[in-house]
Order: sequence, then C-alpha cells, then structure tokens
Amino acid sequence: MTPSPAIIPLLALPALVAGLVYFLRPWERTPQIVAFLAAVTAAYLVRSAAPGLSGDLMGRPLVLDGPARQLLLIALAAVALGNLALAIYPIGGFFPSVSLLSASLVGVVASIDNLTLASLFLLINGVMLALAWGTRGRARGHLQFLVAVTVGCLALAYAASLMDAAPDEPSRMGLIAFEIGAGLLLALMPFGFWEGMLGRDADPLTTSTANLTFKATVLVLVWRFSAHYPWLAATSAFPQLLRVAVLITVAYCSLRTAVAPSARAYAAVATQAQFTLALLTLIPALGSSSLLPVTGLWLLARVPTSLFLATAALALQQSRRLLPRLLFVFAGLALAGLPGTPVFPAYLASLLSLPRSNDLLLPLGLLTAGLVVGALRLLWHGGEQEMPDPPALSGALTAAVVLALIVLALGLQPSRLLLYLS
Amino acid sequence: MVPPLLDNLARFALSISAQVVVLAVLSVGVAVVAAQSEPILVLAILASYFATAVLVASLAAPEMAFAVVLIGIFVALMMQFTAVERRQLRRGWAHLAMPRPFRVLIVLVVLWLAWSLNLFARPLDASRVASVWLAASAAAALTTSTDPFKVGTALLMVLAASLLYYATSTSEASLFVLAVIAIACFAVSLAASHLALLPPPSRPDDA
Repeated sequence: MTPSPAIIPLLALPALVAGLVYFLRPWERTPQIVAFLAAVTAAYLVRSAAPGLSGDLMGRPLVLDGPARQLLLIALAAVALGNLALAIYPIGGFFPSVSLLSASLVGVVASIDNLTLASLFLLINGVMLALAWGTRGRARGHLQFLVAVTVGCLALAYAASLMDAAPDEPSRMGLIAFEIGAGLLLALMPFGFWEGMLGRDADPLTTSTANLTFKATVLVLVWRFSAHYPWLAATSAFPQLLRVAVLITVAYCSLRTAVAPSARAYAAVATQAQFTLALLTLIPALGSSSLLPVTGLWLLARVPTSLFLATAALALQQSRRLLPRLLFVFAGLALAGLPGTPVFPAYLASLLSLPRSNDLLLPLGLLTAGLVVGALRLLWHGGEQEMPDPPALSGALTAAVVLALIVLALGLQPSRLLLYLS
Repeated sequence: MVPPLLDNLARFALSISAQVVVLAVLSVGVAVVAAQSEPILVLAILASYFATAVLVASLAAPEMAFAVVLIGIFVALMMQFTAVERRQLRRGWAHLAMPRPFRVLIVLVVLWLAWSLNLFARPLDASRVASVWLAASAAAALTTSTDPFKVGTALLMVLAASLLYYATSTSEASLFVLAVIAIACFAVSLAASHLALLPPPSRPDDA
C-alpha cells in the first residue's frame, strides 16, 4: 500500500520545484520539461493521497476535500500541458516557475478553511501570474488584470470578513463587495474587459493560465462562499444575477469572437465565453455541500481544448497554409463541443443533468455561432499577420498537432477524464 | 514583555495626534492623484504606510505597527529602485498623462464625496478616515492613469488601507493575516516594477 503524503509537503512540492526551475532558465526547453515532469509527479501524488487529507498552516486548518482535490488536479493538468506545449514552442519568460508556484497557491486557496485568507492567497497567485506573461510592446491588458485581481481579491476578502461577523444573517455591504469581487475575477460583464485586452497584448498560450487555473479557483471560492453563508444562495438575488451576467457575457464575447481582428484575439474571447458557460453548472450547487460532478469534468475538459486553440491561433498567425487553417478550424469546433472532443461529454452531461438545462441552450448556441462566424471570417478575409519565423512556426505547428492528438485521444475516451478526477 | 525598540516606537506613535495623521493621509491622497513625479509617488507610499503604522500602534499591538513600517520601507525601496532604473532607461510616461487641471478637479470631486459621506464628521475617527480616504484616492488615481508606476503606487495604497482594516477592525487581526498581505504588497510592487520598466507606447490610444 502506498503511504499517503502529508498535505503541506504535497502543496509545497510544486513551489519548491519552481525555485529550482527558475535557475534552469539558461538552458532552453529544460525549465519547461522539468516543470512538466514536476506537475505530472505532483498530480500522481495528489491522486494517491487519502481522501480528505488534512493538516494546518500556521494554526489554520487545511482540508483537501473533494472539490479542492479536483481543482488541484485540474490546475496541475493545465500546468503540465501548458509546459509541454511551451517545451515544443518555447517562449522566453518565467512561465514554468510561475505556473508551478501558481499550482501550489491554488492548492492552498482551495483547501484553507478561512475565506479571508483564501482570498488573500488568491491575490498573491493572480499578481504572480502577471509576471509570467510576455508582452507585444503593450501591457495595458496586464495592467488591467493586475488592477482587477487586486481590487477583486480584496473585495472578496472584505466580504468574507463582514460575513464572518454574522454568518447566518444577510450583510448588504458584504453582498455588494462579494458581487463586485466575483464579477472582476470571473471576468463577467461589465467587469470583464481585461481578458480580451490581455489576449491582445500577450500570447494566448501563457495567458491561458488566467482562464484555466485562476478563474477555476475563483469558481470554487465562490461556491465555498455560498456554502459558508447559506443566505447568499437562499435569500439574495446572487444566483439570478449570475445567470443574467453569464448570458450577457457570453453574448458579448460571442460577438467579439465573430468580429475578432486576429486569431490571437479570437482565442482569448472564445475561451472567456466558454469558461463563462461553465458558471451555469455552478448555479445549482450554490449553497449545497458539494459541487456538481459535471463542473469538474467541464473545467478539466477545457484544459487541452483551450491550449489547443491557443497554439492553433499562434500557428495561423504565422502562416496561412492548409495545415494551420485546418488545425484552427478543428480547435474552434472542439471548443464549441464537436462530438469526439473532450468538451462534448461535458456539454451533453450538463444538458441531461442540469435542472434548468434550457438555460444552457441559448448561450451555447450564441457561443457556437460566434466561434463559427469568427473562424470563417479569419480564414477567408485573413487577420493580423505576424512576421514569418520558420523555426517558431514549426514549433507552434508541432505543439498544435500534439495538442490536437491529445484532444482527440481524450475526446474518444472521455472516461479517462472522469478517471483522472476520481 | 515588549522589547525596548517596540516600546519606544509605540510611545513615539502614540505621541502623534490623530489630526496630524489625518492631514498626512489627506496629503498622500492628493499627491497620488495629482502628482506624476516618481519621487513624490514613492514618498506617498512611504507616508501612507507610516500613517497606517501610527494608527495600528494606537489601536492594536506594537508588533503589528512595526511590521507595517517594515513593509512600507521595503515596498517603497523596490519602487524607488524601479524609478531610478526608469530614469536611466528614459521610460517616460509623462506624454500620456492627463492634464494637471483635470487631475486636480478629480481630487476636488473625491474630497467633496468624502465630505458628503460625513467622513470628516466630529469626533474624528482617524482609522476610518485613513482607510476610506486612501482607498478612494487610490481608486481615483486608478481611473485617471495608465502609467504602470502610478497604478502600482495606487494599488499599494489600497493594500495599506486593507492592512489598516485587518489590523484594527476585524476578528482576523493576527500577524499571519498581516504576513499574507505583506507578501501581496511585495508581489504587487514586483509586478508593477516589471510592467513599469517596459517601453511606453508612443500614442495615447495604445496605452
């Protein structure tokens, strides 16, 4: 029988390797490969850990319960696949170190009992992410992200401290702070313009961490708020507001996807819209003691799909030959839920299991329409082209092909996703 | 037993009147909205953390006040190094700044809002005035600037206001919470420095 690791070493392992990876930067591709291996090892250890692993951090209880464990596994999958893609298509920067550090912080945020501290650790995580992304001469998106993360996390921490004073009684100021914080961090309209701007100013492969791990952590934190303070789901208008915000955000992002000026911008707003749809699986779980199984499946299925779209967008921006075009179209369709891709079972399970599944049909239709129109526009009319760079092109293409194969493999055997999370 | 250094610091902090702290905080708020000069912004960071420490010393443990002073010094030093590096690299954002009269107008509007919310009503609650005024002036600075250095300064002031709140107003007052906010302060100053050293855009609509 494999001995179960303790929670603190388990959460600290990626951060410790991140320190080592930082000093491996002079060797090209080595940091990415080491980060990939570290994330795979950490995921193996998390899967072999006993359920409900607990401990304490400076006297504060830490519990790696079901949702926390699933979130950590999703974050480690995103770190592993992101670094694998970057090992093939290396972009300089601190991404390998910061992504590993981010996985450790996601683990702390998900498992710490105190929501004020969880929000503050989330703030550190978000701010560190801004250091990992390269820029294309403009950093307005980075700056907007920095402001959104700082103000949003402090608003959530403030809300938690107000609500803790009387957990069973509604707090008006606490509710306002919570809604502003959640809106800013989940990139919901009218607070979510930072994500499209970030997609314009940085490469989509590294900024996908904001969408795949950071926002998934916020989703779990929002659910924890509703579980700690039951009035939030029972008596406040928060679930209705969330539903309206999801619809508006998906409609706005779908329109932006349809008229995106470049493949890079297309990838950013398309993944933003697709994440927003996942919030519909959160609404029935608000106030209950566990998340729906479909939420974890949805968040995991979008990891390879979003990274595939990001690499396909990079390849298309550098060349307009047939293979990049085909890969880009396939990536867009995979995000829309083409059968045989990992997102399809998540959509199907949501439609079959959600109490108000009709609520999903309209935004899903909008997303699909935006994705298809935008992809066709970019293929026929072209978009912003980057300087051709043959070695980089082959790297982006290879990374896109590898991720396409992973997407196909997982799409044809979706039980592997469930097995990974179980 | 309180060590002599902390004891002396606590005595010094208690000797400063609340009115002086409120005046210092008001000046810091005006400076962060109206000023473009990097040395003034660094001084504003330092002053906001010192004012926070004085208020923490009078309302909570001196150890916490000492921690706030240390956080302020280190964060201001990081921003000062960034300012020097920017001057050497000639990374000027002045051509993208809003006109000074407009920034002064924003200060007046924020002051009027604070006045209408009875923030300065007697008896003066210095910690409430400081936390609300620091957060409000930082919000005004965030809406009127695209310079990463100034945005970083404003975010650090928001964090100073939250340090004051968590050290004095909630059941969460502990060195652990303060330590986590301190790490957040260092992370924000690191990220702001990183972005502030990038070349500025040539046109205002690119900023």
